[in-house]
Amino acid sequence: METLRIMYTKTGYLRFLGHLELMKLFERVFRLNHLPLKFSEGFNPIPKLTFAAPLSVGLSTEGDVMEVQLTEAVPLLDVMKIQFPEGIEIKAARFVDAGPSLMSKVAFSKYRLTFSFEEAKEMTALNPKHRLGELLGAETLLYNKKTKRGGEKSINMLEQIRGVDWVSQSEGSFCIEATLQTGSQGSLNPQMFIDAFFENSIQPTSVEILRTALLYEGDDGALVNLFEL
Amino acid sequence: MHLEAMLEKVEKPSRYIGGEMNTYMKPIVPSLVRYCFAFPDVYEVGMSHLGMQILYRLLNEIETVFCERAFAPWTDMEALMRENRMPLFTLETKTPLSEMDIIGFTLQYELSYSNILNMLELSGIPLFSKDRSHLDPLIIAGGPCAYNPEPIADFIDAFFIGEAEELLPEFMIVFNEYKAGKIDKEAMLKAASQIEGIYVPKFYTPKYKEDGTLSSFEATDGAPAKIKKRIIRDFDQGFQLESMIVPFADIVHDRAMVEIFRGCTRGCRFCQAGMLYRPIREKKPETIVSNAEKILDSTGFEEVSLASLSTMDYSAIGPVITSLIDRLESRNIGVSLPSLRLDSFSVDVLEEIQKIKKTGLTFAPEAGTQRLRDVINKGVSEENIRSTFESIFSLGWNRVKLYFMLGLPTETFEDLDGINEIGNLGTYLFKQNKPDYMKKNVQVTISTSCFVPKPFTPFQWIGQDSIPVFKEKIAYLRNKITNKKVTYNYHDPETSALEGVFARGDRRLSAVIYEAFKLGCRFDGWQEYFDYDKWQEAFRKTGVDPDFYNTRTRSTDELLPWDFIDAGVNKAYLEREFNRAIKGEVTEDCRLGCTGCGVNVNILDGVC
Repeated sequence: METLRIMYTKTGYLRFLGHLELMKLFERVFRLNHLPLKFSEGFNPIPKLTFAAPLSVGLSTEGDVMEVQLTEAVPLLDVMKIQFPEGIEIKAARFVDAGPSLMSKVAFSKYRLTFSFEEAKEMTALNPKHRLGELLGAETLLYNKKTKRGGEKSINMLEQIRGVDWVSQSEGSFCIEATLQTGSQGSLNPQMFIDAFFENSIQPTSVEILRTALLYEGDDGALVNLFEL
Repeated sequence: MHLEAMLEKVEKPSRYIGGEMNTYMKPIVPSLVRYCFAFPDVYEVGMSHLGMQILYRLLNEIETVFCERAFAPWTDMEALMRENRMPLFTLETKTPLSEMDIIGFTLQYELSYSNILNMLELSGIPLFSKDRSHLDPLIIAGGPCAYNPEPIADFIDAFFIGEAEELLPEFMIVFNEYKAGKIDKEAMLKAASQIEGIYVPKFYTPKYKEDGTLSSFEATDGAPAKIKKRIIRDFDQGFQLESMIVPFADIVHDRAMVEIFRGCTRGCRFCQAGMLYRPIREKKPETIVSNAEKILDSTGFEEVSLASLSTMDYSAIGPVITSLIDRLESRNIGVSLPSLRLDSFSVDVLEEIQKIKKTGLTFAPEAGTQRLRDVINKGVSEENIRSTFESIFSLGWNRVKLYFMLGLPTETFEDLDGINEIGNLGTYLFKQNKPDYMKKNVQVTISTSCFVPKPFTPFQWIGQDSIPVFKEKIAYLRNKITNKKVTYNYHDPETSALEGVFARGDRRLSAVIYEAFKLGCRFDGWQEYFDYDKWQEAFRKTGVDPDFYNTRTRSTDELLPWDFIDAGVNKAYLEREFNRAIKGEVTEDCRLGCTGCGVNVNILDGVC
């Protein structure tokens, strides 16, 4: 059995696919390309596809990671040639040894967030750089999250933010890159971060959320692209 | 708000994005005929329709035509579109429908008519044919409901009667002349009306008697008096569906489909499809296997379904299934059958395709007593029901669903008792036959729908039960079914009553549909949106009496609104079958001997 790891994009209209729709699409594209899929045993054999971290409907990614189990290795060049509908592309592929699951290792997502304003002066009034410092400098930033049992618990958002970098700004728009917790230890939805950022202030007219990478934490504490795991 | 911002707000946005595998994109040049296949229901329903898949590929294989798709937007999307004044658009290129040359609606059920008007209005296209000019798209329609096109005749420029595989390409030749500016719209419609199978309502004038029935239905402008349905004679020749669009969204029938034959020889008297799609035409086993492999190789579907009106009747069903399983099992691709008959052979086949997994089974005895099953000519005996129960339960199934119809002609309360008894027979035979390892309890589900008499069936003259009568029968059954292992589900009669109006309606109903649409009716086939009060108001406002159409029994010499259409079966045959039905006489499967419906003479050259 071989584990094929794939880094892929999901952009354009395909960002509107739900996670289940995305999984179905991968299965069908693999089937029609005759990849030697490994199926689960039992009454209802299903191919073994695992996705590191589901992405909310409507969000784009430049580098999410998934794995599929094959009965035998296939040339990676053939894998790279696999065509998906416009919006999904395979960026990289490699065979990996059996190890901890992607889902257990993924720790952070890097998001590039671009905000545009109707008028440049709205943004000036907001002073986003200052706002960012204020937000990250706070002692705590609490929000409520629904638990699986139906209750609510209070979470300090700051503990889920690894870092936020200023990327660029122009007339009426600015761009930041936020590294937010993702995975089994907890996840911070980028929308929650955005809501906190613009709380009680002028709202941008458009927000673009692009996940640029999934990351895991190495032994030395440094963040590494999950594809390299 | 632009489209992407709207998609961020709606449920299931993948319904609106297009770009699925095996869709087409063509460079837009002025000479290209822009065709929109329009399905007047939501994406998941429309995309499950095999006819859509066929026409989409058929049209796109014509170089000069680009066929795109549009579906009824769900109510959340519609609200956003109206709020933002965004016209309805095609999925492929997001082009407003008003920029299409042709919009072709498929008419699968009567309760989608209000959605047709809604889709036209969302496109900014005038609803009535008389209000549209050469600047507007041509609005055409086809599908089973087109066999009685009159209720929507005011909105549709041309109806296509029968199978479109040859008819549509023929029409495209005429349309190209119009598109090139060589003929005007009137001349194009006249030329179209001369093509066998095309009905252009504006060239026909219905006149009515004082009692409201038709007195005449006159053809003008040289249009033919009768419109003969079109069929494909040889199902192995000509267009073959060898690829399908692979939807992103989880649609109703999310699998490869191979049509194995058209038509049906059983002659069930309530079944319109069984009469409309005659004669029977089977595909050869090798064509079926080849179609299936090509579709699977271009789609990646994990299941293939063998589609037809009565799949177990295919002459070589056993060998075809074995051959498919041999080829597909190693790839973990399943084979499924859409309908099962109540007989032991069906159960054997089922055992082969569902080797281990035991999902629920569904059967349709349709009526509760042998007497009533003979009236409707449903060739299912008590022995069939008993032996089917015995084999499925002994093979390890424990869940079974049974479909029945209420309001069949001559029905009495004894027939309803029979439904209850079949349910009880099921739970009893489970106990008698279940294997030792079976630890689960039996679960029998009885579902009843309300019978709607349809044109071109032996019951086309008969009055439908009224809503109060249906309700009484439902209440009776609810009381009667006391077995705790039997669940009873029923359809509300209001939707069936409305379906009954449009199924046998005439042109005067166009006004009612328009009024109901203006009152806000949409998605009438969806329980959560169906609003019977609004429909009643529409009938009141237009002065149309629904009882005239659904509960009234017609005399056999009445001129019926669909009599100008030649569906192949003779009216005399339908009347003969009607008389036999009332006497409880069965008519054999016509594979065993011709029963003289007339399709061999009217449509073929003498032999089926």
